[in-house]
Amino acid sequence: MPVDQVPGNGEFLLYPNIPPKLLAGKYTLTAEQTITANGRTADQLPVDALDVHLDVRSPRLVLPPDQVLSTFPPAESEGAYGSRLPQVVIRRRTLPWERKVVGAPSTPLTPWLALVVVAEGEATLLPNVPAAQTVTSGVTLAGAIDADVGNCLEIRQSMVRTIFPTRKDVPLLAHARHVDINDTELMMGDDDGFLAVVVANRLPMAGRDADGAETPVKYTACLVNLEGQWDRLLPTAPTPVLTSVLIGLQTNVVLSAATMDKHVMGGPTNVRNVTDVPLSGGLVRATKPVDTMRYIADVSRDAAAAAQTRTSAGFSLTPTAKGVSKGEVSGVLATEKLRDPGIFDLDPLLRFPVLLHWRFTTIGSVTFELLMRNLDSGLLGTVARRPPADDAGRLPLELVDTGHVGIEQKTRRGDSVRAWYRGPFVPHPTDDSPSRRLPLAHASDQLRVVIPDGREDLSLASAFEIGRLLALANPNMVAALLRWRQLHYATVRRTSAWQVNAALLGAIDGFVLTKRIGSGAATELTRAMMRAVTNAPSQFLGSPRPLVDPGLKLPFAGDATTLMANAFGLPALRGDPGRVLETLQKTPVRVAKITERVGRVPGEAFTELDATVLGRTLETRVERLVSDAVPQLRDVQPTRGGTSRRTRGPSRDALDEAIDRLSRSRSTEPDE
Amino acid sequence: MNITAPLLLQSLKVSGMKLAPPAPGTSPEATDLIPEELRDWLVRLRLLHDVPFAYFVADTQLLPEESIRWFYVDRRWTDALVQGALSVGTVNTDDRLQLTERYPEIRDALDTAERNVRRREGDPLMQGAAGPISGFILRSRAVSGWPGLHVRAFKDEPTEGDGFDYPDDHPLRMRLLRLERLAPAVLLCLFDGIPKEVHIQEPRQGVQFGVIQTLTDSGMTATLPVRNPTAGIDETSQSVSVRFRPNAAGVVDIQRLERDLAAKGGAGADSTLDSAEYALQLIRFPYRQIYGQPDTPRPNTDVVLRPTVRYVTLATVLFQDGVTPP
Repeated sequence: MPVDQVPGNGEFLLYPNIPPKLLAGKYTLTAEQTITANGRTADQLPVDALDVHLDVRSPRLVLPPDQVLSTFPPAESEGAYGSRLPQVVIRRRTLPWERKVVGAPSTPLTPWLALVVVAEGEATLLPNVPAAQTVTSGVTLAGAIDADVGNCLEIRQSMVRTIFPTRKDVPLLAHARHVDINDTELMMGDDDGFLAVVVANRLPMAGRDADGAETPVKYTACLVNLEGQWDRLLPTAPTPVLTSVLIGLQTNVVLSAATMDKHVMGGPTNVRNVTDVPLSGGLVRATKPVDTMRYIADVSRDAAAAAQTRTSAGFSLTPTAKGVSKGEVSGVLATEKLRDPGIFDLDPLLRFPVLLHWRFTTIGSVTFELLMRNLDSGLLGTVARRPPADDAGRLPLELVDTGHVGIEQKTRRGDSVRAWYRGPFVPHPTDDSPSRRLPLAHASDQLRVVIPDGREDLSLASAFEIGRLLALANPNMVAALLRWRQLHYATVRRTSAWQVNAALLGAIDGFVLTKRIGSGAATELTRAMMRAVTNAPSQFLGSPRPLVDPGLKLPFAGDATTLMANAFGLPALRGDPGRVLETLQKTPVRVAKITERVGRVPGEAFTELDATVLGRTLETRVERLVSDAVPQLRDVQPTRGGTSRRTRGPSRDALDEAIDRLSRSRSTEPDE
Repeated sequence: MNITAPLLLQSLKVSGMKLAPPAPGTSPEATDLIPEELRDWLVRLRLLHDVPFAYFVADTQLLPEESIRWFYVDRRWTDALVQGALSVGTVNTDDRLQLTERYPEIRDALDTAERNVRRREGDPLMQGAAGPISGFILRSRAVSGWPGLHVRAFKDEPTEGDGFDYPDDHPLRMRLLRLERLAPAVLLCLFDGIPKEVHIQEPRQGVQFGVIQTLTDSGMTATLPVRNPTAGIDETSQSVSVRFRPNAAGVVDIQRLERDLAAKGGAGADSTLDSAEYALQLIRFPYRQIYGQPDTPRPNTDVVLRPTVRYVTLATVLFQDGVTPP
């Protein structure tokens, strides 16, 4: 591939079209194979042909949302778009050329899509129409249709010839674009850098009212499918003009039935202007006659021009209508009566499937460049070059170099005086050094300043007051402020309590007595204490007991009997063995009487639950000990069965046995 | 080891310390710093959110229609604003003493937080004391008609010419603290510093197609400068008049325009324009207004991007057999 075909930084490449290999539709791929061998012909080695059915799909009535990368102007936006052609950028580069429009030339390759821009009232967008009815009756879309329902644009033939691109225009209005994949702004979320663009043929200009002032105009941009209706487009444009008309104030007229008849028959009409005819939504049809308003029609402001349109569009009313003094009936907002076939065969209603539509409003038509170039630029405090005309009766602006303006002030006593005010925006740099920052004030009155000319400067006082009011207007903030203050009080209280022991606490290694004691200080202190104790246990806990006590030194004196008796601590054992025995029998043996079981609350029965809980606790502890000690055993699965106790201990040990035994015996034993 | 057992015992005897357990949800830091929600709200307040517009511009004559007014932000004023907000609920002397003690810290915390208001995810935190804040108020139909204006402030004069896109984290770029439409036609912008140069750009919104139009009382006329199709540069000496379909507001005679452009040399290889060449002619670049006093004048600064648009009529090549589309 030539280097030329990869866009560099900030570049993009434009292609007139990128046709797909296959147009949308059903295909059959036939694979045939011919085999020859030595001495055998192809006929003798037949191979069955293989048919593979392909369905090349492409959107037809509905454009999937993920195919739309951007629309300009943005949907539902307002702006001065009058000098820009609306456009839609589509992710799939081949999409505009994936279908063939019957009758359209193939060189240049004609897209099947056109972007038309419809002003309010020029056509009707019908949502959720059954697929077969999205096209003009009599037209059928051959082949598969991707959706059951779709949107369609219902528009008069004359209007199609007015605003739709001509047959020559359509190929010029779609192109493909290859952008640098590193340029996020041009990429707009595409995956491969190839985009298809369809541009409209109409500048969405703002309108003019009767006084010549600009009025907003609502436009709907529709991406329409031209399939089967190529011949509805103008073959070539009528003789162009250099100056485009503006959408004027629509003069809506109400014609009574009789007036309409007269109108059509060429008699004098009694047309009266109606304002505020409800045209809700712009494109909603006014199909129902409103009381006496049998007919609502647009009357073009210029009868002659209208006549030219009709003529050029190949449409004219019956010759008897030519005598109408003020304008002709355009069929856009026609009512049921106007659907009489006699009249409207001449200007039939057509339907075009709309794959995508969005609305925007054009306000004004001045250009950005012009506005920005003519801006009056200056520091705040620069007075307008010419004062506005409508401020008669106002006092002249009192403005000083510091940016202060004189304002009316009503004092608390009710006097009306002049005061100075300056907002947060000042025309000169301020001194923001820390020493110059505003010291804390607690009430706005503290910030009122009387300056040498005797008037008050209320700037900072106003700021204080508006800040206070804004905080009060926000209950969440008031609550947060109070909560924070309360928390701070608690901290201060705690700190002052701890400060009593500052001498001690300061002496503990590793404990820093901060200015404010947080709620975590107790933990910190505990740790520091533990460290102190373990570092010098002798100071706190006494000297440790030696590991081994020396044995007592036995006195070896007398004979063996005496020695033994002394060793037992029973001197009476000496002498006659019979007496010794007697003495032993009489001597009571002290046996400790065990009344309580260790670890149990007296009087409570040892239940199964206790055993379970104890057993679990023990298991957990043992497991933890073992796993700490022998980390590699951690993942060893226990070999012991049982579903209720899933432990990961290495094996059963004596403690397990003991617990089991205990619980068994307790469960069989009757309660105490 | 400074501590001894007698000292410990003696000290513990006299103290009635009772430590509260840590309250759930409060970290130790929470007591030391101003809570986050409160801080964020105060920062918003310091950037003058919710402050009525009349407090900014006390008289309409200070901000006439179609004007831009530059200013410095008075920190004493915003300090007073915050002090007013903090004064809520200070009922007695204790409250005020407490506030007096904490206020310097609060102000410092707000100074830091303020600079990070429009910080994007992943950017380094801004540190340091609060510098000056400046900004402008723009009252123009340009604000209402072109939603999404780009404002770029530069600490120093950008040296690169047209077409160079300064990313947001470029060292020359100055952070915006606030960019907001206060009214449909009023735009307020605050800079974190005092910029040397400010660009106000037409929203880009991708590549646009259009004409240069002139409005008269009777209607609209438009022209289109012919662009050299090989260089992609406007040949301003050559322009064509755009022709319209009669009695169809704004409908451009596309084909006639194509013929006119071709006659003036707007076509490429052959005598007619294909749709790519046509698009090339119609592309309009966003306008950029520069404010500042450039030391060295730079040419061609009125257009944001001036890419060299090359057109290629090689779609057939691209899809030739054997060539895999990228």
